[in-house]
Amino acid sequence: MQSGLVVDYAEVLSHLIDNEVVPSRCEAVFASGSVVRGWGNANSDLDLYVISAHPHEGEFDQLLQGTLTPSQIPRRNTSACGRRVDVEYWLDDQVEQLLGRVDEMHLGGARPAAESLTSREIEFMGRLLHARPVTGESWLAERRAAFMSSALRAIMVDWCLDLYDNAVEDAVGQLNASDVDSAVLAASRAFGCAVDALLCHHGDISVSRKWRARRMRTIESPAMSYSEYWRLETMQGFDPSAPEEWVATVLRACQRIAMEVPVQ
Amino acid sequence: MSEQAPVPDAVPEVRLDARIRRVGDALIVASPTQDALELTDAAVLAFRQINGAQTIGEISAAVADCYGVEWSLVQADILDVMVALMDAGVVTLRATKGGTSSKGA
Repeated sequence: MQSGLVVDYAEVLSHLIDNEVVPSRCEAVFASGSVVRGWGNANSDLDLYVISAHPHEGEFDQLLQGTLTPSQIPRRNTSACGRRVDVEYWLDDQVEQLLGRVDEMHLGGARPAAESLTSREIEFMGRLLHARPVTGESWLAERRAAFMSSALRAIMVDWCLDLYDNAVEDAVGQLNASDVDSAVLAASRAFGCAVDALLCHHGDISVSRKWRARRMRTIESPAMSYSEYWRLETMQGFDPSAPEEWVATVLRACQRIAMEVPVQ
Repeated sequence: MSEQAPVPDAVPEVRLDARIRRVGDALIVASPTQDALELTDAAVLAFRQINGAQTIGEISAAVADCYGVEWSLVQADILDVMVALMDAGVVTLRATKGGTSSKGA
């Protein structure tokens, strides 16, 4: 029985191979997500990614839709060594396609590039950058290096800042129309996008809010300290009698991020 | 042309909806409806000093300090930067620090 953050990956892999969840021959198996990054808890699933040259022929619980060829990613929810394990089965060629798409799309602009990928595909690339190899260490090292030197970060920063601009425009328009409540929500959205841009600039690629606080703790930026981030994220200082002041404070903090995060 | 003329004791403020991008050491700034403006060197330094509290004179002094020169040598350039930023719809003059409006100057 394994619990918390302690994972015997060899034991988990052996169990999964014995139960035909993981094929005995594949390019690589890597773990990623909260457990690998040290943020897991007793309820955390272990996220495993199996990379193969051939399509998965075993059991699966879900087929995740994507934009690659083939367009589906089989996923299986199982358990091993007393821990819940989620396994996604990716083809090496799909990973290759993602790499090609990122560089190809960079030429067409960040927004169409990022929006032509699913959030799961974006998460996959981000998770690969922070993965722990279980088998196929060299495969993971090569792919990680390829994504690190690709346009992925630039695309994600551009895209997040684009979304940030849209949210700011909403917030200011709503303030001008005295729709202050909507402006507060738009400012909060703008803040999230600006912080995501900052995190992507630091190589932490994600479009999920789930671990944003943990992720912010891992970076040091002159644009925003963790304490300032947390104060704004949790709306400390928000005065219900003067919400427009909080909107202005948040948008000015976002402007500092936009000034610090380089694009291209 | 801007409606307000920047004067040393005026306090500039970046519009909340200003679009800002850093490209290398330069900053590209724009209002949502006007052409972008590329800021380099001293203009970037000046823009970074705009916080809705400092006067243009104080911003000039800060920029001069960075270059190790007298503020009087940079103030005219900083005033020109402010005019360009106001014309681009990126900066507004909220008021002079003493509370006197700079409108109509």
